[in-house]
Amino acid sequence: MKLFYAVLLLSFLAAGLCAHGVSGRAISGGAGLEALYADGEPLSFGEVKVYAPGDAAGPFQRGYTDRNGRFLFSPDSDGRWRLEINDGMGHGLVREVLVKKGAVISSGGPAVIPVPVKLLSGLGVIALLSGLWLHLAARRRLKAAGKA
Amino acid sequence: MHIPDGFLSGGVLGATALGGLAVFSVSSARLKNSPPERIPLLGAAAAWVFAVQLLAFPAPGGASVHLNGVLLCAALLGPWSAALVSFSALLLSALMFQHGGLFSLGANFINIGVIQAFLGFALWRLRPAASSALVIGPLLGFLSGLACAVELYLSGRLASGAGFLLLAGAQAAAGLAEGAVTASLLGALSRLKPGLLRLERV
Repeated sequence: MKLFYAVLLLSFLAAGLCAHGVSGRAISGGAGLEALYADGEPLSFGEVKVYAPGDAAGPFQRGYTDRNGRFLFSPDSDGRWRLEINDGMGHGLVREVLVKKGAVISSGGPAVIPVPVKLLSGLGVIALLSGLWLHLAARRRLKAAGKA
Repeated sequence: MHIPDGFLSGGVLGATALGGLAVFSVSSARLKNSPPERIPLLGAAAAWVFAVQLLAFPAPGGASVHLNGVLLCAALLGPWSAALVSFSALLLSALMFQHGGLFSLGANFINIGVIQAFLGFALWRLRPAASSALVIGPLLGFLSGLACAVELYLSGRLASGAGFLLLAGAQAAAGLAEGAVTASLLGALSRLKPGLLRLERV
């Protein structure tokens, strides 16, 4: 009988010791974002907050982008997940990731535009607007000269 | 320093939008009847500000900073012109590339355009020499970074202390580059096109 109680005690102790054990398994997939600066450089090690659908009170997860500006998380419900990425320098982005039936439908972000394209298109718009303003100003001067 | 939408609280957004709108309205009114000769210069200045803000430099901690280009415009064209030019470039960046938010345009305009244009011009007038930009640039960068840090802090996006110093310090470092670029361009213009340094500063 004593032996039985001793074995029972030892088994409880062993179970207690194992209670704080941690096991792990590899997982794949998930949802996420890649954050890039305007010049195409990755937003590395930026602070990330993930908010679950309909739960803006506190973040579901906090973390950091990796050196390539990427961040992945595992959504546990469908809906629009909100990700906020902040580099601590006033730059960052807020994007929604739409998850349906456990799969990512869209990240809601714009396409990454190469810097030369941005530069040319922006300068084109500025030239257009300046030309329009110049045209109006010149016409106004001509009118004033005509009246005089 | 282009704060995106969703980062600032309603109060900060409202206050900066009102402040930015006031400066934009006055500068538009002042430049409304600009002579046709001046308009291509304003267009070139807007192109300069837009282009340099696309070029980023790595900052400590993996972040990124960029030049603003406003000091050069303020020194050549005056504060109201520099502010309007900066607003145009910021609006274009926000609309076309989501580089900075539309709702946070007022905050970005105050941090980048208003502080740099008016304070830059005021400091420039004290000693209007190309080399002055070497001192004014980092100072403006620091103050712009500080303004950005205060807005983020008030919105609960930035812890005090180290975050303030990191942001303002990184912008001051970018300001060093801004000062050097501005000083060299002003020096080159004084030799090649001295007339550009004698324009009416509005």
